[in-house]
Amino acid sequence: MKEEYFSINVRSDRPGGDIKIIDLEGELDITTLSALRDMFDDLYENKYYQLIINFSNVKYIDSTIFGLLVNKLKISRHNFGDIKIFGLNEQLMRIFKVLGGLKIYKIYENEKKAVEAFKE
Amino acid sequence: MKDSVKEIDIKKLNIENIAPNHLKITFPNDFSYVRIVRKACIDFVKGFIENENKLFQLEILIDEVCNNAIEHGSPLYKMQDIYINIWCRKDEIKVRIQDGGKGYRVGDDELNREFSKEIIKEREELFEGLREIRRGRGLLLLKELSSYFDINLDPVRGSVIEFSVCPRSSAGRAADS
Repeated sequence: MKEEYFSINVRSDRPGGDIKIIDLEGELDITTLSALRDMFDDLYENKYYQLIINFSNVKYIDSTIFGLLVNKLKISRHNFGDIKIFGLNEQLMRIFKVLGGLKIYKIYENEKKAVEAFKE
Repeated sequence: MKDSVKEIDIKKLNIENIAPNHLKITFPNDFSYVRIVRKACIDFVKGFIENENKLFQLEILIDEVCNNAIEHGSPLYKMQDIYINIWCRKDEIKVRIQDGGKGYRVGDDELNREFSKEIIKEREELFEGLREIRRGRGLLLLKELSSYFDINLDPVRGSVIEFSVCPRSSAGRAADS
């Protein structure tokens, strides 16, 4: 039994831009942890610390992934960057709230506002 | 970039409809099975919970307790199956998950047959990394999203976690606030 259910796409906010936008899609749980960790490692290896995560097409996130994102947020901020988030639906927002994510993450309505926040 | 579920052996998964309101699933101590287990649980419960948010919260909780049961099995011990039971009533959905305990430590020869050293190392690193990442967040979710929970840790006989959610009210605790 094999099923595809998760994808990652990384792009820049503009050609050659330093801000990377990560489009996630599907269900994020423990089985997707290593793929996400590898993606962050690649970005950090290339000195990209200003990151925006697009959750618009994410249906599910568990606490393992949330924990990974917290760890990566620390790394980004330690290197004078940040991780900003947009596209959380009502259910994901509730999970973020329960786990304390709304206190540590900056969450935006859309991609444009998240990009602008890096330029302020 | 695409990622996909590791191939699983469906024969190792046992789904039993014990009664119209009681489901029992037995599955291997392997994270690859968690997704299919939680989906089976949610499919079963759908007839009893109409509220999508409640279903989502229940799915999150089932995921957490399954991961927890697997995480607490040591890679150095013979892997045991995990049992999850769900009972659905008009006013309560009750879930109980039990791991098989650590069983017995396998001898070096058997250990070497069962896992290569590389696999053991990989699993140890995975579990170490997970502990760092998870750090009590599952418990926080249980506290906030369930209406009742109880944890009985017994590494020898098997640990049991029980929780319940109310299918109708909007509350876990802070769940819908």
